[in-house]
Amino acid sequence: MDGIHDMGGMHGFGPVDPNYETVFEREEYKRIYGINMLSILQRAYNIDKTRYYMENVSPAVYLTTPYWERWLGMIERLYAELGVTPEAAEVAIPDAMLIPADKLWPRFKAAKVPAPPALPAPKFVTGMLIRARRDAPATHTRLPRYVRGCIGRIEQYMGIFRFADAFASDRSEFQHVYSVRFDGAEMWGSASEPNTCVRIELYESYIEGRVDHD
Amino acid sequence: MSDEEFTDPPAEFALRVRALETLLSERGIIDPKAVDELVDIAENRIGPKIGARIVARAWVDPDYRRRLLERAEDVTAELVDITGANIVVLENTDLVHNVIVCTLCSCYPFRLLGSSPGWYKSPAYRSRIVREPRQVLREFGLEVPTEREIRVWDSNAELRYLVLPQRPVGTEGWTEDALAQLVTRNSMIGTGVALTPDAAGSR
Repeated sequence: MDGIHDMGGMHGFGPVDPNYETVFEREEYKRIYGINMLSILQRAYNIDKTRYYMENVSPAVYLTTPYWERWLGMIERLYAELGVTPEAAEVAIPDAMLIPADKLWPRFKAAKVPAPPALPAPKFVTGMLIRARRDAPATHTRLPRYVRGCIGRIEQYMGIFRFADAFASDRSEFQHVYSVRFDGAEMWGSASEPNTCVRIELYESYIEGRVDHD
Repeated sequence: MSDEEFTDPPAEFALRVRALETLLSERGIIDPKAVDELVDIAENRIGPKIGARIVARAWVDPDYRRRLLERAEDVTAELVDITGANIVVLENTDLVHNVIVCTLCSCYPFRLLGSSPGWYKSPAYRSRIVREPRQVLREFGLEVPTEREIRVWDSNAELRYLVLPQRPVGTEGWTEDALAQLVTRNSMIGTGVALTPDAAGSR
């Protein structure tokens, strides 16, 4: 979705404050962090849905709500949709499990990315010039506006990964992923800084096709 | 957003958080002790010291460095007992300076650096680092020579990036533990470089 969260390249936010270090400004924010992390690990909902719900708010609200408070609204909505409300005495969330507290640290330390399912061969190879798709779906996407329509070079094939856009809408889908380089001038034109580029991961469906020249 | 804007505790917000945790706990969906444990992990058991040990080892052990750059996922646990699941390590050189961001939300190499600082999640950093990285790095006190490419990694999908900074000159023969003291968090994000022996001494 074309929300305010997709802010790469926007003007107007002023200088970065490198001294702003605080992670949790309030004790409550730690609870929000922990509840959400636990909910994802226990598979009450998936992480892509959390991002989708967090960005699916009015730009004014997004920008004026402190970081962790945006998370609270997201968690409340996700659980309400799962039927977890003060009015419902009994609730069962399909596929969810309970992880005992003492299992969390061993699980964290040993975590592995699960092996993805096999797919037909990738369509593109390292070294190809490609154009990022110009697409603006209303639902969750990890293709930022600032690279849409731009020409980039595939630098590396990264493997097969869960397709965030699908999981955010409760569909299971996996895609080939490529690390693509976009030069500063391709994205920002005359405003670009010299000798700068962005590297970003493109799911195969984010790529419109091969181009023959820059 | 600055700390000052958080001085007035909104009772309503605290109540909402408590109501949510109580509801989930009473319905048997979460165990508050598990929430405590996750907070404790984030606050006390992971952090930049983990990443610094990995960087220091990579500086002294060329074989470790090669394997780390090839496939961090399988390598980090040898040293820090935490797998590098989903982490890719990026090597800074005389030709390339790497820096990481998540323009769409706040993705970060959490497993090896812990929670991200406030500025990393700020609209100013997320919006500007992809467009004008040289200027933003200047605001962090880092001037990258024009002939050195700045490569900004937008962590938009499943992988998380960790920068392997260059080893400071004048550290020949240093132990791994001493070297790790030079590895700042920002040097592993790319908004800084590792400390020089002089700078470390004056800290």
